[in-house]
Amino acid sequence: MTHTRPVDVHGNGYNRWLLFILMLLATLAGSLMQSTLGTALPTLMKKFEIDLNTAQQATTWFLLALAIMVPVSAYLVKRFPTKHLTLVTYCLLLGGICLTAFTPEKHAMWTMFVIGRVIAAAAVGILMPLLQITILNIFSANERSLAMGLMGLVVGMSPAIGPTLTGWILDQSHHFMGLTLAASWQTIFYIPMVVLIIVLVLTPFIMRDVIPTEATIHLDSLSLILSSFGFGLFLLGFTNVSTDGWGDLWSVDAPIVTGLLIIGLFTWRQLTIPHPFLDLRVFKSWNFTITTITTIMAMMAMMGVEMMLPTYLQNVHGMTALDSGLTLLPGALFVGILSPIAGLLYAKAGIKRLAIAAFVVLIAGTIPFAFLTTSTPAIVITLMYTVRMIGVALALMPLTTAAMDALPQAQTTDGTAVNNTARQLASSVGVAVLTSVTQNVINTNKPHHQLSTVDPLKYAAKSLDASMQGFQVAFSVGLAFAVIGLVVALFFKRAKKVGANS
Amino acid sequence: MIIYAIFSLIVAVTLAWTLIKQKVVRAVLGLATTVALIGATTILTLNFTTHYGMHQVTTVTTQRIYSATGKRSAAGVVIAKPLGTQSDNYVLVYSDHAAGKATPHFVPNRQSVTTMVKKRATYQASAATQATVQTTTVRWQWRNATAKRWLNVGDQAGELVRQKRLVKVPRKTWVVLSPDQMKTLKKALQTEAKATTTASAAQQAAIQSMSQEQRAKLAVKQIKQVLK
Repeated sequence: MTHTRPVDVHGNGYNRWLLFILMLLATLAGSLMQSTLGTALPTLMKKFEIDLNTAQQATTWFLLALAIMVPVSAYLVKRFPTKHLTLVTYCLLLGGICLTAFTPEKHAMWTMFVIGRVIAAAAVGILMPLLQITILNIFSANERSLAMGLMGLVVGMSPAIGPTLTGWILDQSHHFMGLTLAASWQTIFYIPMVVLIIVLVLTPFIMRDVIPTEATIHLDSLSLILSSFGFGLFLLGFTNVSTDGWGDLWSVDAPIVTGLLIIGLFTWRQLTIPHPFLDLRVFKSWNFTITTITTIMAMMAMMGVEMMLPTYLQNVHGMTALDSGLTLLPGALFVGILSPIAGLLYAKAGIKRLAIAAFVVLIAGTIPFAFLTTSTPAIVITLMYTVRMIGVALALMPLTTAAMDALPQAQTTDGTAVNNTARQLASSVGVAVLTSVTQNVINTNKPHHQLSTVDPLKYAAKSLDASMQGFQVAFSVGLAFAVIGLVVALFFKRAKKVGANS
Repeated sequence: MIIYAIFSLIVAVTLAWTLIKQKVVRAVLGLATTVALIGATTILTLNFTTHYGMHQVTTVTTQRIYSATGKRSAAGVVIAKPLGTQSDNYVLVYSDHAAGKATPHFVPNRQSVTTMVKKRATYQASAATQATVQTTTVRWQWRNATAKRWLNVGDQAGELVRQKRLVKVPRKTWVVLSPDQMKTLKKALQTEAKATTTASAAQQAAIQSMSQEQRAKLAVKQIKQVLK
C-alpha cells in the first residue's frame, strides 16, 4: 500500500512523524512540570523559608489553572490555526518555566514562583488536547493507536518519573557529556527549558496547520471569568486556613462563600445559555454523575497522599529527595502496568463491580497511612503505597471510560470536558484542603518555642509529634475520600446501553 | 508472609468481584476476601503502631570510662555540656580508653531526628571507685519465631524505644565540670603543675608517698577551691 504524501489544511505537504515527535517532546516537557515538585518541596521550603502549606501552593494553583483551561483549550484548538497556537503555547510554557526557574531565593519572591507555575499550567492545559486532536487529524485509524500509545506513555509515565527525576537532580551534582547538572531546584526547570528552546527553534519549520479551524465557534467569556474567580476564591480561602484558622472572616470564610456563590452563578449560566462553556447537562445521566463523583474521590485520595508523602519521608525519616522519589516509584509504575488489565476487567464486569474492588484495595492500602508513625519502616510505606496505586489504577481509567459509556455519542465531547475539569479541580482542591488542614494541625500542636531553650530534645520530639499528627489527619482524610468513593460506587445502576460493556 | 498475604488478597478481591458470574457466590466470596484484606492490612498497621507480635527487650551494658584530662590531673574529669537549661540531658566529654583522647559523647544526631529524640544522657556521683557509663537500651524484638515469620516485612526487629546513658563518677576522686569551668581549670592545672615542680622537696615527697586515690582526692579539693 502506498501512502500519498500527507498535506495540511492549506494543501502543502509535510512530515507527519517529525511533527508528531516535536509535539510529543513539548508535551513531555509540559507534563513533567506537573509532577516534578512533590519531592522538591522540602528543599523549596528551606530555600524560600516557607511552610508546607505555602510551598504546596506551587502545586494547587498549577492544578487549578489546568482545570480552568480544560474547556478553554477545546475552543482555542478549534478556533486558531494550529501553527500559531502551537507557537504561542510553547512560548507561554517557556515563559512560565523561566519565571519560576529565575525566581530569586527570597521569602518575598515566592509569589513570582507561583505565577510562573500558573502560566506554565495554562500552557500545559492547551498542550495535551492539542496533541490529542492533532493525532486524530494527521493519522489514519490504524496508525492512531501507535501515536496514542506513545502519547499515553509520555503523559502516563511522567507522574512516575517526575518525582524520582527531581530526587536524582537534588541528590548531587551530575556530570553528563561535559555538562554539569547542579544539585539545585533550578535544574528541575532547566531541563524542560532546554527541550522547549530546541522545540521552539524547530517549530516554524516543522509545524503545520493540521487542524481545520471553525470560525463560528464561540467562547462564553463571562463563563470563563466566573469559573476563574469562583474556583480561585474558593481555593484561596482553603489555602488561608493554615495561617488564619477556620474562623477568620476576611481571609477564609468570605473567599470560600463568595467563591461558592460565583460557582453557583456559573452553574446557573451553564444551564440556561444555548452554547454553554461547560455543558453541565451531562449530569442528567445518573451513571455519569456517579462516575464523576467516584473519579473525584479517587483523585483526591490519590493526590493528597502522593503530594504529602515525600515531605513526610524527607522530614521525618531523614530520606534524601532521591530515596523519597524511589519509594514512590513502584506504585507509580504499577498504574501504567495495570491500566490494560483494568480495561479488560471493566469490559468483563462493568464499572460497578470493578469500582467496588478498586476502592476496597484503595481503602486497604490507605489504612496504614492513617496511622503512620515516625518509625514506620520505609519498606512498609513503599509496599502499601503500591497497594494504594493498584486501587487507583483499577479505578481511574475504567471510570473515565464508564463516564463516556454512560452518555449518548453526541454528548461525549461535553462529557470529556466536564469529566476532565472535575478531575483537575478535585486534585487541586484536594491537595489544597489536605495541606491546609495538615499545616493547621501542625501549627496548633507545635510546642511552645520557649521549650527549645529549656529542653531542645523534648522540643524536637514534640515538634515531630505535631508533624505526625498533621500527616495522620491528612492521610485519614485521604482514607475518608476512599470510603466515600466506595459508598458512592454502590449506587451505580446497571448500564442500559448494550454493546459498550460486552 | 503478611505482605504476600496482602498482595494475594488484592488479586482475590479483584477477581472475586469482577469475574464471578453468580450473584450469591460473588457476594459471599467478595465480602469474605474484602474482610480478609482489610484485616490483613489492619494487622500490618497494628504491627507498626502498637507493635503487635513484638515485645520490649531491655539491655544494660556498663563500660569503664577515663578522664577527659588524661594524666594531666590526678583527679578524674568529665566535661558536661547541658542541652537545654532544664533538661537533665548532656553532651559528656570523656575518654573511652586509658591512653585515648577525650571525645564528646552523646551529641544528638540531627540527621536522624526520630532516633535522636529517643536518646538521653546524664551523669551522677557514685560511691564506686571507677567511673563508668551505663547504657540502658530498650528495643522492640519479635515475641517468637511465628510472629516474626508472619509479620516481618524487611527487618523490623531492633527498633529503638529509648536509650538512656548514665555516666557514674566516683564522688570523691572525680569532678564533673561545665565547659566554662573547664577553661578556668586549665589555668589552674598549669598552676598545679608549676606548684608541683616548684614545691619543696618535702612537699614533693609527701605527694609522692600518697596513694593514687589520695592524690586524686587532693586534686579534686584543689579544683573545687579554684572554681569557688
